[in-house]
Amino acid sequence: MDSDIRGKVAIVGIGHTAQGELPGQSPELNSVLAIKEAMRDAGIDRSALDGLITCKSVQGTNIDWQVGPLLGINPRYAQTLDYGTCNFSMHLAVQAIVTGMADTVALCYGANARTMKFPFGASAPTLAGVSGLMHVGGPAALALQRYKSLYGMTDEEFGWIAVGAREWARRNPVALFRDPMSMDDYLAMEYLIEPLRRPDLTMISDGGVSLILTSAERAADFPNKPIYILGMSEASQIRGEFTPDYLDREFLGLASQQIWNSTGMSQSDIDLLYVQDPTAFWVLQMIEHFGFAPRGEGGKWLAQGHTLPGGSLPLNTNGGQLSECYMWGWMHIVEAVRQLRGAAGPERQVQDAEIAMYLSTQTWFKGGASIIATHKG
Amino acid sequence: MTYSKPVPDVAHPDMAPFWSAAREGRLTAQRCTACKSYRFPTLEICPACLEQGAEWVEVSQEGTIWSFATYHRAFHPGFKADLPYVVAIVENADGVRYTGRILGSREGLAVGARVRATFVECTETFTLPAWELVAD
Repeated sequence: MDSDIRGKVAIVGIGHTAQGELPGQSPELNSVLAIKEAMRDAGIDRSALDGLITCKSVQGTNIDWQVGPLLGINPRYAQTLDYGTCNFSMHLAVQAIVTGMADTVALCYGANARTMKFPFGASAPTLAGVSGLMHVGGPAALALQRYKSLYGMTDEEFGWIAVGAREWARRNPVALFRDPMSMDDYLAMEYLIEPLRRPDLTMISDGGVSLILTSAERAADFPNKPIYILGMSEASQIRGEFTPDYLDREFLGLASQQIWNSTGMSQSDIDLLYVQDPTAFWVLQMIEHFGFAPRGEGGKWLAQGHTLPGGSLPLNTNGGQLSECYMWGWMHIVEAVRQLRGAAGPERQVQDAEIAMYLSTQTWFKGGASIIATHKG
Repeated sequence: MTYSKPVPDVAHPDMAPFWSAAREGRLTAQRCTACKSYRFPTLEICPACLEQGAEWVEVSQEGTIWSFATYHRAFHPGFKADLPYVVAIVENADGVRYTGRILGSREGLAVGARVRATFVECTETFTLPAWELVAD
């Protein structure tokens, strides 16, 4: 069976709303406004869309049949994913396109959790919850504390993730957090959930984001340079906390093996790295699980500056979820496409970047990886 | 003084045996009647052997810290007076993992540190199992 998807599908449109506070706008409206932008970018109208994949909002809305009435179309193929981060939506779109179930698919995510004051800090009435384990920062802090104990990473080494994100965000007009933050500034901040500080955690924001994917044959007719999908992989840990050491997220190793094996590529082929980053520690884990740094040495590797502006492997050039905006990681792919098109603007454009990788997870339940490029591989 | 932190539904049939045992100073977990595997929190079927029979049994109150996190901000107002407070994942001597508070002295707080269960009477109906560090 031919399972090689390399170069068969391309991203031909990207769009998003302003990020931050969008009072009075539902997740569905934010989705549709983003799709409008993506269609404008792709030079198409709704008649060209025969697929729609929506991603649920934090509240569980933004389902395809809730977006449909606003978008005003009944596409042949419609699906909704509970899992965010864009990787899973993109993978489903590739599967739909290569199997002929759809030709041109819009993906979208919409959120209004900031202005709706969604209670991210609320606790479940479990032993953990009533004991005060709250916010995703809690589990991430547990995982980081264990990592520090096993490998001896310093706060400064770890701090390069948040400081680096801010360095990039300062060059991105869309980013919500653009004030300078030096390593000294970072280290001077108090712990929020020790060993995590405030800049090690994303801040929730409202917005919408959309991508349009089509077959490689059709992509040639679109106005922008197509960005091809060369590889994709996923792995799950759906047993959740019933998996021993679930916070170490070892299951990501399977997604790593699969994407390197199926593409025949290696870490040195990647020009730009994007890692979904609700917490800075998830980034460190990803860098190690996907083999960019040896196990236990991710902090030292980061401190060498590879991922900073001017480094050999720019990381989250938009500022990521830590400094750009929430959007569950979707804006990472928007930024990757901008960079690969050469359209990221003079302040942060990385020269001659041809291949980008995007890594993301739904906390400790599921992970995904994609490699996208300016060529068909 | 009234208890201002979140409380569990101690009457919920799934977990009622755990909470009522806690009131008597006993730490419990669910155990599969077929393969004897422990599980916590409760599940409707044993994930090790897919048999449904289970009973709540008393387990060891000795354990070690898998990891811990120190909250310097209260995400619920009830925890404000406790700041900074410590939450840990503890693995007990039977291999069951519990996420709970570390109370008392923090001398020697570390990954791998030994702890012993302690039971805090929070309300008339709710007693919280928590942990204290054991001096080596």
